[in-house]
Amino acid sequence: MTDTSLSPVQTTARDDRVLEVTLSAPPDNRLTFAMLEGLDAALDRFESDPHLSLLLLQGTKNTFSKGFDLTSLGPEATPKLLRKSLVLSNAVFSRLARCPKPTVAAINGACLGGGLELALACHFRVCSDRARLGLPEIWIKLVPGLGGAHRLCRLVGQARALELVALGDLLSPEDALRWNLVSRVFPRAEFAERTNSFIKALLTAESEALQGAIRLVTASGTFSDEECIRIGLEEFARLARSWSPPQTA
Amino acid sequence: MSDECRIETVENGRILVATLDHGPTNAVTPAMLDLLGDAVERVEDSPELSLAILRGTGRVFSKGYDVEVIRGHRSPGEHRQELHLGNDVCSRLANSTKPWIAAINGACLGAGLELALACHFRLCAEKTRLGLPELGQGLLPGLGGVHRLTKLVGRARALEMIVAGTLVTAEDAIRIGLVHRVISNGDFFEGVLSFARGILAVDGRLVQEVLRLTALAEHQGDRDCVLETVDSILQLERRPA
Repeated sequence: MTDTSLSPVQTTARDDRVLEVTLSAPPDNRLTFAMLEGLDAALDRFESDPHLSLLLLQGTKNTFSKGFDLTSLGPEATPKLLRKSLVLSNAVFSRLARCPKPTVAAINGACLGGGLELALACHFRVCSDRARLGLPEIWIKLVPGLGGAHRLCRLVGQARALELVALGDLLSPEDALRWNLVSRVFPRAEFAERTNSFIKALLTAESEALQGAIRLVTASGTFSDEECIRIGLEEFARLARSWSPPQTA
Repeated sequence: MSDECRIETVENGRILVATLDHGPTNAVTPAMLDLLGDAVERVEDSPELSLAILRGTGRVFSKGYDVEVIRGHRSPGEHRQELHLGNDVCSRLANSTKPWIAAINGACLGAGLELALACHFRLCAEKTRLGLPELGQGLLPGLGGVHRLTKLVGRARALEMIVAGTLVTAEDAIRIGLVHRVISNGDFFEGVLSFARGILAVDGRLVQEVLRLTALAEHQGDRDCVLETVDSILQLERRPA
């Protein structure tokens, strides 16, 4: 775990308060349990370091991740081992989804199955114009097991989510944008640069206010209308206590 | 390593008995929970088994989680994984489609009570003490005890038991609805079996439907519950025993 050069997850803190987390198991960047442990450790670092304001999750070269590597559990993987691995993997995904600070998935290429489920656990998704996104588990007689189906539902609605899961079709970046699955599509040649501009825009926000915004918006998935109104009110009142009018130049 | 959770069957293979068996306090460990998870799966999968009993060996149900295990963690990640796997076993127990009876034969504290809370029925022996004293050791109950106790006895009593660390007697436990029956120590297990036979006497499919519908009642409204019940009744009619 200490030798990061061999780790399937590379974690780098950049000067601009961004923690860059790179899934690194070329060529397909398939998710393994070791990789998710690396992601868990990155979350430890991200959550405990007050200087880090945003987590950027990305793949290598032209692949984000082509999904969970079931063979990584070994040739004699019992249903019991598989279950444990799912429980622990979901724990990491849920932790990512509940992260109080903003998380961005930079989808630089194929983003399939567990890879898309991972991106769905982030607050923001941007993708390159060569990316392909989908949940093709049904092709191998399985269903998404890492929270992808319900997170997808919340984003794109039941009809489209069911279509994507039942047919296992892959979406083009244009369709993904039209369906609100990603919030931006950038040309591949400018992907890193444009993603950085997107991040920079997020980082200009005051971080307490940005975290408040994340709390409010994610609360809608869990709480009733009236509870959400109450959460919004409390959040506003809390921020307003230290608020002063913006200075005019 | 000896089995920290021994499994046997009684009543012609219709009841599975899981016995916590680890040291003088039946301290709960990851290995014990793992074996209990196997037992839960076996009860679910086996058509012969109709219900299960969880008890402790000797005069103790369990006095809680093995603190040596917690002290031995090398990283927060290791602790986090252990908590998630342990809770998976408790959630499977709580969501089991066949009834589990906690036969609380003696002291039932901390993780011991959390396991009992994940069962559908709790029967306890006289003079037993039950509680969640984790806060006194600088810990929080980590196996679902906080929410399951709150649902069962209400927030006020849950707060008293957890924050003040109040241990309740068998009599108090029955008064606040924490246990269903108190059985005399002398013939405790026989009393548990006679309770279990009462459940075996009715159609197992009906028992399973009631488990499902009561779970539904905890988070769905009247209309949904009515629809589910009607569906259940008609489906059972179509498939006679």
